[in-house]
Amino acid sequence: MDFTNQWHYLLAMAPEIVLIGFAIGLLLFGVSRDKSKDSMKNRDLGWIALLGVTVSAFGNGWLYASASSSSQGIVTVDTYSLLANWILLLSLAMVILISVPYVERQKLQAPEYFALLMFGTVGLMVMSASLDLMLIFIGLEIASISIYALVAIDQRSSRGAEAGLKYFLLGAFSTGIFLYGVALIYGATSSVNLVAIADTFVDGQSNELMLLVGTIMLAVGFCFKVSVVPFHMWTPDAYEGAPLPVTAYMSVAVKSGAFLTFYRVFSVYLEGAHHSWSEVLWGLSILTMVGANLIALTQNNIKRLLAYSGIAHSGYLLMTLVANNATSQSGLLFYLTAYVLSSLGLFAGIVFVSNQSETNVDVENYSGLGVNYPFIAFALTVFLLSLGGFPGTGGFIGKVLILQGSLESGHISLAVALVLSTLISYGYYLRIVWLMWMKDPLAQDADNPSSPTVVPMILQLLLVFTLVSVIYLGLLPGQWIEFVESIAIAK
Amino acid sequence: MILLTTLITPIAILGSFEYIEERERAFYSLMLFLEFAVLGVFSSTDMFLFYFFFELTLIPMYFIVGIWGGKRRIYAAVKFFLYTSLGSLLMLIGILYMYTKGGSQSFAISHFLEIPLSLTEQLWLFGAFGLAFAIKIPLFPFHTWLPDAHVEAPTPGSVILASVLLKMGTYGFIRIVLPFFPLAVSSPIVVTALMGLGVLGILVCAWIAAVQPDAKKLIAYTSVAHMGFVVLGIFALNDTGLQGAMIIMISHGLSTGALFLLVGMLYERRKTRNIADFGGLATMVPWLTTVFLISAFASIGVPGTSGFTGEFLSLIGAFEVQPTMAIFAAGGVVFAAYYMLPMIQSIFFNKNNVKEDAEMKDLSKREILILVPLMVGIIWLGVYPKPFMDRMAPSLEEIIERVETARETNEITARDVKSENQETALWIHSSGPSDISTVKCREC
Repeated sequence: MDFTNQWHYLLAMAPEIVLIGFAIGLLLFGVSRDKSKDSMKNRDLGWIALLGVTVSAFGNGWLYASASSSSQGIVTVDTYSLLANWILLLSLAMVILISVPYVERQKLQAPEYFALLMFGTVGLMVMSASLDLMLIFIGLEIASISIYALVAIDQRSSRGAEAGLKYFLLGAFSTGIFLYGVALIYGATSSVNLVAIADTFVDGQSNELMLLVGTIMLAVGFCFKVSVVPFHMWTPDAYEGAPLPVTAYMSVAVKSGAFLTFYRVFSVYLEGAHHSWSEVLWGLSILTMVGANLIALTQNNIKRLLAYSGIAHSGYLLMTLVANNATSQSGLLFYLTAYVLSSLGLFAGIVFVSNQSETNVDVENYSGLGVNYPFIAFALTVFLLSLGGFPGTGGFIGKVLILQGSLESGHISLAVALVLSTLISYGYYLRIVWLMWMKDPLAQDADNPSSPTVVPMILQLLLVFTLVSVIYLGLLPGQWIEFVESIAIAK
Repeated sequence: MILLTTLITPIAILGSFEYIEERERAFYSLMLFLEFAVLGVFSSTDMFLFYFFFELTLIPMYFIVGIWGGKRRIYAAVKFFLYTSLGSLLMLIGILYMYTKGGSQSFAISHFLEIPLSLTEQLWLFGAFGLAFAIKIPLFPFHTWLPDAHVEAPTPGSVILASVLLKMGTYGFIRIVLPFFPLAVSSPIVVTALMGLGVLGILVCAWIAAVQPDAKKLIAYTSVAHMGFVVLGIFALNDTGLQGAMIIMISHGLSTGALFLLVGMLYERRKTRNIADFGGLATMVPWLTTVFLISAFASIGVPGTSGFTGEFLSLIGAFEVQPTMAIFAAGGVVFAAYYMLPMIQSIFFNKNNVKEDAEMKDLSKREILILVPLMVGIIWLGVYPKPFMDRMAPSLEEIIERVETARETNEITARDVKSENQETALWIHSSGPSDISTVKCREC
């Protein structure tokens, strides 16, 4: 594809367009279906959504194979954005799979549920491919609004409504800061196009102070979205109140989408101001790693615990921005892949233990899992170790790449902070591990309804898939590292 | 070391037939997994793989202690895991730093050896690597995880922990720290500090061991004391000392392994490990008593056992360098007798009219099968250690040579800065095969 006519530009957006088409189709179907007959079950809607994701992923693969790259206009097509699409589509597909049994059991409004998930993903995809601050803002809003609604989609859950409102208020606040930053940058460089902004650094025409303040505000806006301490307050509440699959979606897709955009904007196009924002991010990164891990030690609810662990992972990822070299870019991409896979596997296990509902969300409920369900407990152990960055899992290789990247840029303090906070994180990851293997199961009574005896087929397949890929990334990382190193951001 | 591992693991597995009564399948697969990881550590020639296996040993040990351990097993397992990974994570930074420094091409140990590092860098990196290994060994004062883990672990777990896992630390010092950071290692402050810690470990742990009521805990503390001797031998930085350290490592693997097995056997028979609960066993179980005596003598370092050879060599090595330290450490041998002998006396010889003791059975065929190779090893090393020493000599000489050369450069810089290090200048002439090095010194 050489982008000689308009049609090519449309094709370049094929993955997004396919997803939007399927999502609108699902919505229309939800409105028009005959409720009394209920001819089509929610499960089938899930499969349709999955079909949409698959088609979209194929479109993405076709774009990758045709090696098209364009950085004109407001949307770019480069290997980086295509990889971002893949990561997002992969997480969407797995979240849909986790959701199918959950939606059915909780009787959520299936058409809207799946359509919102797809809209959110489109927003994230647009955002990570965009070259224009306004378009990034629009993508961010599409994604955020879908998620606000998804968090509160269970009408019978008051916690869900509360979490949704809280997320909405704080999210709106952060969006405001983000927009303010965009406005200041526009004022300083008289452009919202990232390539044009990058050029002003070269020319040295920028209005320094205004630009710096704008950049920092932009960074703060992003930090809200990827939940970096001290902008993380909404995360535990929103994660706890949201339905489980939505929590999984937020901690995986939203985080990677926002982070990939964050990285693209700052590492390439705002690189000229690296000296100003890197010190701020350096401090935030250390604060996030250490703070979040320490708070996570005290959590008893598994969703809150994972929320804090997710915040800590944002801290690790921030290191790649501060270091900002080739190694840390591949570190970011590798780590994100490993993080997405292990978190999704973990959430699949959690959905099983919670009996596809919102019960059994305390850490204590994992006692004795290893006795009753050795396979699930084994898989969960591997995922937890991968999140902790233990050798033999994908998370370890990712951490090594990040560490190496920061050492290459001479940030030894960050590297030391990373390993110390990793040590802290072992504290809570291992707590779940020892509960699973070294404790007897809880006595079952009214407060502790028993876990289901049958593991749904979908969850089993998901667990096997994620388990195999996490271990593959850990033991034979060569191929994936090579692939990730070939990823480039168009300038 | 591989030989030791492959010898100890089957013995530990044989020793676990009666102790492990639930979830056997998981237990034996974890044991084999552990053996796999340890063999990986001892055979890897690549720092990345070394680190990989070094960390990998934690997982099976964590589960072995945590699932099959005693009452406070979870506390012990978590403490063990966190404590040891603190050290190894800092080592990871060290490894990556060297990798970056060396042009990000290869993690091979041979490549790492060629990376030029300044003294300050070497000191920092030495800190990172040294802490990892010091915790693993464990060197006093980083030893606090060890008694907990040992006491709570099931017998085969303690055996492997003592005989094999602790050796990873000393192995790391000899194989990695000495050749990688010769400048740092030969700087007088580091040598004095580490030898001092070794001696302190010997004395303090001997002292603590003397008041332990629990036989297993007592043996755990003797481990720390033995490792003090190993460190002393290593940082004597001469042939004799290093050879002594190697022999102690093997000897400790054999004798402490045997002692843990024996205490485990007593525990299986009586369900208690308190020294005070036993008495007069010598007449009931003569075979067990004999074997226990031999292992305890090896642990004390009575001539004719492997412990004597090792401790003697490392003390000679240390004496050449730091006579005061060596004299204090030799006091540790007396201490060893002071805590070991009362235990033996109380368990096997004192009169104690407990009924169960009278009905106690002597060693079964399986138990004899386990213990015989250990006893043979102990006595062989004690009487005729030459074959072992001959095999070790070439690789040790290489290491020593590297350190010697570095020491000279250290000397020169030190002499330039301040001329107070005359004492260290004396070492070179007094220590080991220094012909080559003195020639070099004259040249420069």
